[in-house]
Amino acid sequence: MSIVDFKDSPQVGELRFVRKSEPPDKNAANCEDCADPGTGSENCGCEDF
Amino acid sequence: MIELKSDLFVIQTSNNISIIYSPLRGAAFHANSKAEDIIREYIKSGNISEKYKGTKVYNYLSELSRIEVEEPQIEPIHSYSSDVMFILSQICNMNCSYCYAQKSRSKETISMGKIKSAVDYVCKKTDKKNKSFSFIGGGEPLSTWELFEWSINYIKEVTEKKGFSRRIGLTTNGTLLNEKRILILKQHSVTVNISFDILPEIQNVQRPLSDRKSVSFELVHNNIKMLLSYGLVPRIRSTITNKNVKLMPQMVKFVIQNYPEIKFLHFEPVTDTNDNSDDFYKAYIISFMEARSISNKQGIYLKNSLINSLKRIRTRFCNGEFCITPSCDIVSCHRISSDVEECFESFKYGQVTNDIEIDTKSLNDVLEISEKKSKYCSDCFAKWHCAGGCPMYRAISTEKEQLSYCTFFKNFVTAVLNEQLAG
Repeated sequence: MSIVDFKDSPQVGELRFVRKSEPPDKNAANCEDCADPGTGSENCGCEDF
Repeated sequence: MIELKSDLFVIQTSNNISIIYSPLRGAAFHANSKAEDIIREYIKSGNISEKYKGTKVYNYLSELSRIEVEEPQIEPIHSYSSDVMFILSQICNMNCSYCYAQKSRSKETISMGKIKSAVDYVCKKTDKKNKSFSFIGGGEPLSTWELFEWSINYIKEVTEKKGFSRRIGLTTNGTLLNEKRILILKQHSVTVNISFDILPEIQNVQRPLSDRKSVSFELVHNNIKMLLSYGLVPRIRSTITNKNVKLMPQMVKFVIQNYPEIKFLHFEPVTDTNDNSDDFYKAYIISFMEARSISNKQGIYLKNSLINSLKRIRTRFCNGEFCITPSCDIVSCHRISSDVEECFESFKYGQVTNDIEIDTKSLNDVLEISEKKSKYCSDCFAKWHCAGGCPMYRAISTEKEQLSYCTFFKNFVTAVLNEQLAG
């Protein structure tokens, strides 16, 4: 944790923008934005087989 | 526009420190209990007392409120028609303990003509120039190598003729590769995703060959080495069960030691109502975060479907797939690939004949299933990421199991936010 709880004064940690692009898949052809480029559903990636 | 007060959530963690999360604005920060009180009042009234002017919490709220965000728009489900997923057959040479397609095993194989119809269909649409073709199970796609090879050649021919770019993905168990096949995969720039549980003692138990006696570790391990020697770097996708839930850090270390070229790993919790207990989920989060810390230091990107969800804002978990089964049905989920599945009719919305026939009523029913949300979703901080969760899981699980997964999802989001705020 980046802050300590001093009960009498409002304390906040650093404001961070947490939703940023993930690294592109170097193996993927022509797609830097897709979660599972060409390897199944980009939504779930849940192919248990 | 969505006001900040409707896009601000207080997530309790520990030691009186909370995470304040604005999902649509993609922002978060830690707050102590006093700051949390101020934020709760802001969420209730939309105001912050002037006496806090100049404090960090006041400044943060001011900064965030200046960011204009719109209500995310629901995408039409059929917008994926540039992406097609093929289940070539239900034939498999393995007998994995958790396989979702076990019940569907048969000799049924899709015909070349039907593959041609589907490829032609997605290539008729000229508005999107990038086309995606995935080969997945059902059965092991390389069990029908000749058909697979014919398919990728046909895809190449049609997309080149029309001037489209293409992505071809293969999810395979990794047992049926050889030098000749690897060269062909490389020549076609196929993205190879190996389903592999990495540690020998786990792979051999969870993923035996179909005679149930022969182990598979050495075979897959050697084939991964062969892929790497030809410069075709696969991604590994492991299924996490009760047997390996505490072994994820070891799995990452094994990859670093044995396959240093591999930079993309996917560790997914199994969908199994026996394994998916609250204790399993708790152990999963601890082990995954530890594994992620190791992988981050080595430049390896470790993910799961929940991290995929965190990367984006969505109104429904899944837009549905355009998946062609061996019986030439079109289904919205590749896991529901044959009529032996109880909910098959709920996920089927068309057929491949000489053309593609979409049943509008069934498609609307699929849409309706995808849109369903739990009563707990409306005021949940994770609602724009989970978006009601996987329709397939909702179809096969009880309400209790869904609630358990829901808690897991929220705890996982919290753990990742904490990681991002600490890092």
